[in-house]
Amino acid sequence: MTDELKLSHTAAMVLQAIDAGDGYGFSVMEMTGLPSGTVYPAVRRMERDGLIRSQWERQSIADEEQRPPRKYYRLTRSGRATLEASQKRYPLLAKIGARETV
Amino acid sequence: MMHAAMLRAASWMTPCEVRAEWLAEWTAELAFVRRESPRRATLFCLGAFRDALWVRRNTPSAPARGVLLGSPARCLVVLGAIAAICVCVAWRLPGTRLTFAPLASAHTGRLVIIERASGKLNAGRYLWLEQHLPREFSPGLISDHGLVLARYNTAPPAPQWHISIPEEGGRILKFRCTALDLRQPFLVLLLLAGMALPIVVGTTSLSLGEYPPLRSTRARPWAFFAAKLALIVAIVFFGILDLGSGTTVEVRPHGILAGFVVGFRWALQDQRRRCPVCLRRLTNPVRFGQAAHALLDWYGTELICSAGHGMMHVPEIPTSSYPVPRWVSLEG
Repeated sequence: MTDELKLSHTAAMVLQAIDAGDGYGFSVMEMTGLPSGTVYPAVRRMERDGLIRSQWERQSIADEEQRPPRKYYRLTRSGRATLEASQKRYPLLAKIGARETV
Repeated sequence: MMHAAMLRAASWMTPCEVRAEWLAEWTAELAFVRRESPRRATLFCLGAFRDALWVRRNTPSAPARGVLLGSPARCLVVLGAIAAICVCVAWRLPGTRLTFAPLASAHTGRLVIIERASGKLNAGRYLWLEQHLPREFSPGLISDHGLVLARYNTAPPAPQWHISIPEEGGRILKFRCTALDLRQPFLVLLLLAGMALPIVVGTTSLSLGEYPPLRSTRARPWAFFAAKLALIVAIVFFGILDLGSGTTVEVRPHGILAGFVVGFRWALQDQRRRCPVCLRRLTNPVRFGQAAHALLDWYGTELICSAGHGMMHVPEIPTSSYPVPRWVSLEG
């Protein structure tokens, strides 16, 4: 059984925002209301710990919108397990997540 | 333009091997932020500095990094070369050289530097000035690059004062006289070094780590540390004097104080990252543990001496297992 990381409330919020949104750094900022100086280091920590993985979007998508390609993040299997554990630990997160899916 | 410059400035804090990708990521996000929420672009870019600092602290050192200061001899040679350059430049700059040039004891305490209160004193004025100096000055001047050295007949009335000399045609020229005290620079040096110490104590731990008693090499790390400190004092003192010699605003005391704080902190951090036996920089950092378990388990970084003398455990936070870095010897 994998040893899930115990995340802080802020980190769990960021992880949930990545799961619920399109995975870009700015969209995590919009969903959580956290500043960039908090979100981006948190995202890097999670990537280092194997909870999320990063990928650059396709050039064609960026060209369509006439902007440079952005990096986005997706949860790994370990990240999903950690998110579920965090939602049990922080029931409010689970409620927010449930309300968004309704 | 401003936002791009902010990101570029923040990118200089990141290690060079990840800089391009880091900057590309932030630039792409900034382009999106500018389109969606332009008013938040500045706040968005400010967060880049924090992220860059995180990346710098958490990127494993590349093998080539630190090779310049890796061995203790090379470290002292590099610091010594920098100190020598600073001293040579200080000797070449006339204003700074006058402060340190050895002079006959008969002139000690009586020498005065005369310069124009505003503007420069050109060579054509030297003879005129010599002929029109007040009676309190002895005849004969030494002039070099716009500065004039004169001898006061008695002890100067103040550290600095002004004199006005009327010119033919009714114009009055103002000059600033500064008493040259040879003892002053070294007293200032001691004072500023003393002022820097409480700041260093307040901003960083003075502990160099826990070490088992090493009978044969106990004096060597301390001697190396003392040599580094002496060279840093010379680099900072003469370097800031060189940099401040061309300024009209007196920035040298503040610059020297700030330089001492930065230099002493660097010396402490460098000493903590060295093997106590061979004094080489420790390498191959490996991170152990998890941030979430910081209070329950070991969480920090382990560095190793490339010669195999031992390992250094550096806790991420003082409450995690050890309060200070701990050296574990691998020798029999």
